[in-house]
Amino acid sequence: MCYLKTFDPTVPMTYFLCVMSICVFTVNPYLQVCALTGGVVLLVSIKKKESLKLLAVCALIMAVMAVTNPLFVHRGMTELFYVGKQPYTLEALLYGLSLGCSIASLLIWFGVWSALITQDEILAVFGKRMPKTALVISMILGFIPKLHSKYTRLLHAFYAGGGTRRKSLKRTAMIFTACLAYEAEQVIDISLSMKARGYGSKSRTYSQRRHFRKKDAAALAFSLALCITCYVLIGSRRLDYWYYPRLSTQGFDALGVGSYFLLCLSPMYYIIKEKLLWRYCPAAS
Amino acid sequence: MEILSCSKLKFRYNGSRNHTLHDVTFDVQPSQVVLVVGKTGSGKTTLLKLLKKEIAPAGELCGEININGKPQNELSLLESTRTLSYISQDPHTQTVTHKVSSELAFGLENLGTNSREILGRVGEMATYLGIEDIYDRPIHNLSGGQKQLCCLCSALVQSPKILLLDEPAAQLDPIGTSKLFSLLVRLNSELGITLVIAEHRPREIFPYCDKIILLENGRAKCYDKQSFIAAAADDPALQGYIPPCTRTLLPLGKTALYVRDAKNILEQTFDKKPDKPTLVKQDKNKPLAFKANDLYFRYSPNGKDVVDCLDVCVKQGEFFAAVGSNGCGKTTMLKLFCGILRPWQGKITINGKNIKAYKGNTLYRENVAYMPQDPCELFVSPTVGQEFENTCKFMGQTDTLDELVRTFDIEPLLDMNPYDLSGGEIQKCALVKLLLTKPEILFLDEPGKGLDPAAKALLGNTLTRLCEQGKTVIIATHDLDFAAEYAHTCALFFDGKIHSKTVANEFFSHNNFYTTDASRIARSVFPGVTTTAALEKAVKESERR
Repeated sequence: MCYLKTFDPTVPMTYFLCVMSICVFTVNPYLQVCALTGGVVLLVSIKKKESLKLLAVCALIMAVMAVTNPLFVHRGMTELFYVGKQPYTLEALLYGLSLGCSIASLLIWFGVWSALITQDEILAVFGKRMPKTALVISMILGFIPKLHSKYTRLLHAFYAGGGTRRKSLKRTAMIFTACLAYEAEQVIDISLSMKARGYGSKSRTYSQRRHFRKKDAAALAFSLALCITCYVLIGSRRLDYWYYPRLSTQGFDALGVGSYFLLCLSPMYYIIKEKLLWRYCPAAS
Repeated sequence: MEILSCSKLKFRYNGSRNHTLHDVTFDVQPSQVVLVVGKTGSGKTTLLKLLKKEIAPAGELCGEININGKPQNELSLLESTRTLSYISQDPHTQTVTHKVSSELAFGLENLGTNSREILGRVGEMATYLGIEDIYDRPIHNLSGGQKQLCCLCSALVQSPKILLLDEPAAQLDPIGTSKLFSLLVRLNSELGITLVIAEHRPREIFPYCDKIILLENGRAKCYDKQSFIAAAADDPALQGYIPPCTRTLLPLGKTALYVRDAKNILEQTFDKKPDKPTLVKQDKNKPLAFKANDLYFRYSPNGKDVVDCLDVCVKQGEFFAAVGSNGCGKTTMLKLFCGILRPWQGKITINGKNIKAYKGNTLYRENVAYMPQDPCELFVSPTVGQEFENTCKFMGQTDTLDELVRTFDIEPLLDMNPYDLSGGEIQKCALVKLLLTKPEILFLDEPGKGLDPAAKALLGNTLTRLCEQGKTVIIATHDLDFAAEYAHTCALFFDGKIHSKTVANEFFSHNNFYTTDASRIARSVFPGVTTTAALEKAVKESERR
């Protein structure tokens, strides 16, 4: 996934915001299918076999939502059968499937996000505008593993010093308090170390390892153009869809659905390009 | 003009009656290497911290400190940052961010340097120090040595004129220590950086230092190399601070700063003996106290085995030391041995009984005890006394507490917070806490870390005494001199296994790198001699003959 990582972090982050903001709020099945298909294709291309577990969970969520929604919601004109005295309708089933599809798409797109956007990319985006905020985030990211490692070491020493292995709130509280006391002392030393290294002497800068280039601008403009097209069409109600009382016959707009589909699958261009490059590039052979 | 000078420096901590430093006066010329030595608690760290005003401890300070010809108080934060960098003995307290790359850039970002310049300077320094391979790694995943290099690099990117280092090798294995000091010498000779180093084991840097400041009860005495060696010849307490090669030649009235020179002098002075070491024999009749058979351990299902087909036996009353490099898995091995971690395959036998047969906490009652690298981790109560009481309550007895407190002379420490104790004091308290559980086998991880020669000798003698009483001691250590001096048997931990476990002097007599300086010096003239004390004795006896 090297090619996708060569962009300035603002580009992939804006891209994900565009895709997910539409995916979260729409109930249009055509857009949902685009989001789900795009997400699955990207996730499988990036994570390969590792993606199967998440896909299985998503399929389960969709199935559960689809099957259970009609048990609680009895709206809809197409009755499939009765559960007790309540009708089990096709509209409620499809609405449940739509909700499940939204949740599954979100999970899958977050899976793609986590593969492409690391902590460093988030920090780089914040660091440009808010160097102090970026520093705080970086310190928190460093502090959590330190605290976890200290807790584990204290727990091990507690066992070996004769302490009980039985889990209890008292034991956890005692070790956690000692751990926090230790870390609090360390925090004082760290703050002194920060001062000794000039913190507070001038306004902070942030070292950027990547810079915004023409290709970043082009990719960003492409994503935003497709996203804005979708938003305009959603705003003009050409992508409206409803499930109750009967399934809508509208909601398909070739430009809107096509734009969103293109948006969702646009990273595949770079993935395919990279694969072809490796296959035919003399350096790779 | 001197780059750093102190005149009649006097310092007292807030709330303390006694002065930590009294009338300390010295000066340092540009590009000098200055060594600060002294016992634990003699004021080395206080002195170094006072030189950098941003980290100076709170208290009453009298006297004058001049940096680069300017009184310290008149230096702005910016000037101070650009002139002096401080590296503490604990890299954990010095790293601020989560990744090496951001840590290296941190100082320059604080100075408002632009991004291009930061990347250029960080890249240059990371390449110079050879840490490109860890540049993108999270800091919490680094070994102690790598963290120390990261701290050194982040200090150097600010291009300081003076580098203050407080026990920079405290976390490092012998080979890492040599590399670090070679690097410091290179920085001094190639970049002209003035080095002020506080160190307990200064043998690597001693030959290169221009000035030695000895702190005793807060008072400073300044020496050059030759006058310090002469003073050490008269005062045995100072001999721990000079390299073994220099120390062993004191009875002959000769001086050598390097192993090569000392070896040549010994070979010229005494007859070269056949290369057959005189080895200490091990008592084969004693029963086994500990046995590990075919052990395997890894931290995650798909991870690499940290312990890989390990076999070892330790007899009752034996003092066994496992040595190895930073991050090779010695701590994991000790945790497996004492049942904190469980192997995925293999068997551990404690006093003839499978470790799995010890149910509940019975293993840690009257059987085994473990001291972590940081003995403070054994203390979760606010005071040392309360911690001991809790342990006694757990053991259901209090009869041994008073006796142990008297034996180890720790009564004044009982009301103190464990984190306020010095390295030697916390070691003693931790040992008392472990002995309260009446263990038959003691596992100690890096027991001599951060201790001055006197405190280390006290610890070594205590452990030897415990072995004489029939207890078994198993340690993992970087300190080869400590292992050679006190351990009965030694082995190298490498590739997840214990290699070539044998009696200590045989182990050190055969190794070239994992061995003591004394062994390197002595092997052609006094084969089998592996400790500095033994070599001194051999030299004295031969001289007398």
